[in-house]
Amino acid sequence: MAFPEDLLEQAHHLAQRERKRPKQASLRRAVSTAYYALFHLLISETTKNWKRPAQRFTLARMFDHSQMGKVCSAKRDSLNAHFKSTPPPSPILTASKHLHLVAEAFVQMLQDRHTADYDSSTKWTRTDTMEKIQLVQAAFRSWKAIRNDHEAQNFLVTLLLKERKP
Amino acid sequence: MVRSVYVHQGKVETAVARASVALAPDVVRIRYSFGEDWSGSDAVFFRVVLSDRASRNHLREIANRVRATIIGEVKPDELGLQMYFNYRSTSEQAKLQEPAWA
Repeated sequence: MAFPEDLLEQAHHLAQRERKRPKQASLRRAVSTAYYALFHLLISETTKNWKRPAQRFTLARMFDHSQMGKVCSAKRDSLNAHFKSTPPPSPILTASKHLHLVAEAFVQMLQDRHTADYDSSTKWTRTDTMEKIQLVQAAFRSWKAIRNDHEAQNFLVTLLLKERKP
Repeated sequence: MVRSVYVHQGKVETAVARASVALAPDVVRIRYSFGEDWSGSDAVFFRVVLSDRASRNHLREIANRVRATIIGEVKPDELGLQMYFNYRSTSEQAKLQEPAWA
């Protein structure tokens, strides 16, 4: 399995440990790892487009969590506006819905990763943890359905955009 | 400047009440709080208590319904709010006894 899939499998494994009384450490690491699975999926899909494989690891270091979150948030909002115009069913609309799920999952998981990693007052439950993992699993499936589409590939390159300071 | 969370508190309250009715009995109750998210944007954090049956048998499906129903009712894009969802089952909350989820 590739690294993102390995991370997702590891998140699932952590969430299922301690069958009766899950430890907060296991659940928090599971949520964080599920986020990182999605983070690395999007990065690896982007860097695959770089012609020289040896340089892809360097390129991967250019990605920034917050910036990716802002791009995903903006993409989700623009797709929401598009859906409100009730476009007719089409393969393009189906692809847009998949992309919406990926963007929305990233925004939600970034928040959950912050909570899991930095807010020790929050008590996680197995239900919540499994919901997050299932959300990321759904995002993986959606991404696989659209990974070669024009809109999906355009989205990937925007993940590297940075805000310009005036 | 008046923060949007205070301006829209009443709208969110009404929308959540409607969503709770629509989502019963899989959703036992919905609590929420306002705050800032990872980007510093105003956000609503929903805490959704599910029935044990729903959380065990069709978690993804009910989570999708919760998200769609609450977004449909609250219309966060019109209010300038981000929305985040967390879930727990009735029996998990019974063990943890957290007031914020009660």
